[in-house]
Amino acid sequence: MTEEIIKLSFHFFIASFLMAVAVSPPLIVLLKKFGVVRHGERDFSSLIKNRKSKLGTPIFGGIIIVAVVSIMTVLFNWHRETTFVPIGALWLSALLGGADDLLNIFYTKERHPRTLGRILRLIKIHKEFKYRIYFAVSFPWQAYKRFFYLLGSHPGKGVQAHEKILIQLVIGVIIAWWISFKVEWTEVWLPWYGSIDLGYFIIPIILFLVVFMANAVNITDGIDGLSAGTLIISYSAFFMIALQQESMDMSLLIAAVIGALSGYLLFNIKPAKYQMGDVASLGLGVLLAAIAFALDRAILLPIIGMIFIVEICSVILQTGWKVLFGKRLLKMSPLHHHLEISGKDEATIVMYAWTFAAIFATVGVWLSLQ
Amino acid sequence: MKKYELPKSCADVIENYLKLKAADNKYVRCPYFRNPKSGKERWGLAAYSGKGSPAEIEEELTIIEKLEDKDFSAMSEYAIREVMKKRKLGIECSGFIARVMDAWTRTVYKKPVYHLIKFRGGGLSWVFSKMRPYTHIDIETLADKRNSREISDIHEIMPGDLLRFSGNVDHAVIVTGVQREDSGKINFLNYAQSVLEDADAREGIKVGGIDFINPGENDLLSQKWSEDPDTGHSINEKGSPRIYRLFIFESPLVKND
Repeated sequence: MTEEIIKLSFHFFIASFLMAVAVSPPLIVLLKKFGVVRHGERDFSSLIKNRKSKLGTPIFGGIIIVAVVSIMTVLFNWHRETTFVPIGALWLSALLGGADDLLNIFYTKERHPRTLGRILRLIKIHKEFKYRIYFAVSFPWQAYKRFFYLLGSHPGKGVQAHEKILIQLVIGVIIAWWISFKVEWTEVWLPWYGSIDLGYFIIPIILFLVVFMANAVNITDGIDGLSAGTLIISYSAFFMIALQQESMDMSLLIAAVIGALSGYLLFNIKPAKYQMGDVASLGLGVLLAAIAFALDRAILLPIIGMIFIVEICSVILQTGWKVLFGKRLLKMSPLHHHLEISGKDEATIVMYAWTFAAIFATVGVWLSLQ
Repeated sequence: MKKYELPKSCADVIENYLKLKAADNKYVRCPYFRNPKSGKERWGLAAYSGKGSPAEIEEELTIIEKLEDKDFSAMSEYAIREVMKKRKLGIECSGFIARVMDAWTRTVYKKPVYHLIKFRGGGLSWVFSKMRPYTHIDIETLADKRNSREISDIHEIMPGDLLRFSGNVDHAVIVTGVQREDSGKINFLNYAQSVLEDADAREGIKVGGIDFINPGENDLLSQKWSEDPDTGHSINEKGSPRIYRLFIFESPLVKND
């Protein structure tokens, strides 16, 4: 059985890799032609001297990964019980990320939230009663929006942080529904212990990990080759776990992802010909979480995806530090930009990240056997 | 005649606010910015709360220069100050005073000023004052009975004393130097401040002097005030100030005597 899975997975890998490689050059030309490229405004990383050259690089390149994985899965690996929901989650995330990428480039208006004090005043003094009611009813939503603004979310032209989180929660709910009700996996596996049944308490854990991983991978997608290379390593670890469990569907799905990512990476190595964009980074994070749950190895996600966790934690800590202490903890967040400003070469940072990712992925696979 | 001055470390802080380095050959006098009671700036970086140190403000200035794709070395001081005003980067009066006092306490006591003064409020306010101390040092805190005493005789003024103006906005200046005759009477006093003069034009760090032309009068307003740069306004327009001396500066003052 394992031998057959390896053979088929290899075919999936090669087919996905070749498709990604074949489609990349024309896509790069198209993205440049339509101006889907990195702009300086709102891109704070362009403050780093060496990153000025990134302006003008096509983004949205991750669409290749989403497309290739979708084609391979829908045509050759479509199973309602296994691959249906992970791929659905990937598509929803790609829609969200793609909309964000494109709106950031092409939408002309910026949306700024009103202050809560102003809304309260409007509730009191607006001359039209219906608007008073509207402001009163929408106050919790405005407060929610304002909360993200105060945390440092920059209300740009794209999908805003508070909207992204909501949509990611919806995606998380779909995955949670699938895992809890459809396939009824309410157990969580622990190394050296076995499985414990969490019942429906697994739902908040799924929601949290899906949203967390989506944003973690998204944040890691900051320098050439970093996210793609690290993702290949993390997915490879889960591929080994899927092999160990003799899960054909998951193995093939992961092989397609690794193949597409490898093809993409050929064009994303410094100097990148194109960049992933939110269109794929959000979805690949969600998919990684979904696969971890499907393989009953969610507990290993923070280890196998350690680089992503460190990256998102650097952003959370930086934000918290600013709010709590009025200072910066890092010169710039995420961590990879801090290292760049501190004088580390982009390629060196990526090499270190890949090395540490490989170490942690190995530990994850070893733990999976316990 | 005796001359009393704040330690050099304090003078350096004032000088740094007067000459923020915007580019290699470009220095800018720090504009005024007052932190709002609520909002993003209040919970953001100290530099955007009107409480930043010169180094913190300079760091933000570097970032702004790159963000706005400007070349500060080729811009006038006025134009750079306008960019800073637009970006809400500057210092307010108590933020400035706290940083000057901080330089003094670090010289004399080897401790930051916020370890030596008592903050107002308890509960969460206390927690926040420990986490973001400079943001929570305001004029009311400095003039609090637990931190300072009021001085009634203008000839008792010493460097480090606060001249507090209570108008629409609580404002204070810090005395930086005093020139005293052998009789003990002051004949000249220097001060520094970060001042708001006009809601649109705003202002920033200014230094000033009070020439005691009427030494017999125990009223600072009857003396001659002057400020640098001359913006057409002077702080004495806000009325007669009350004088406060922080307890933590009593003993260093005695030593100076």
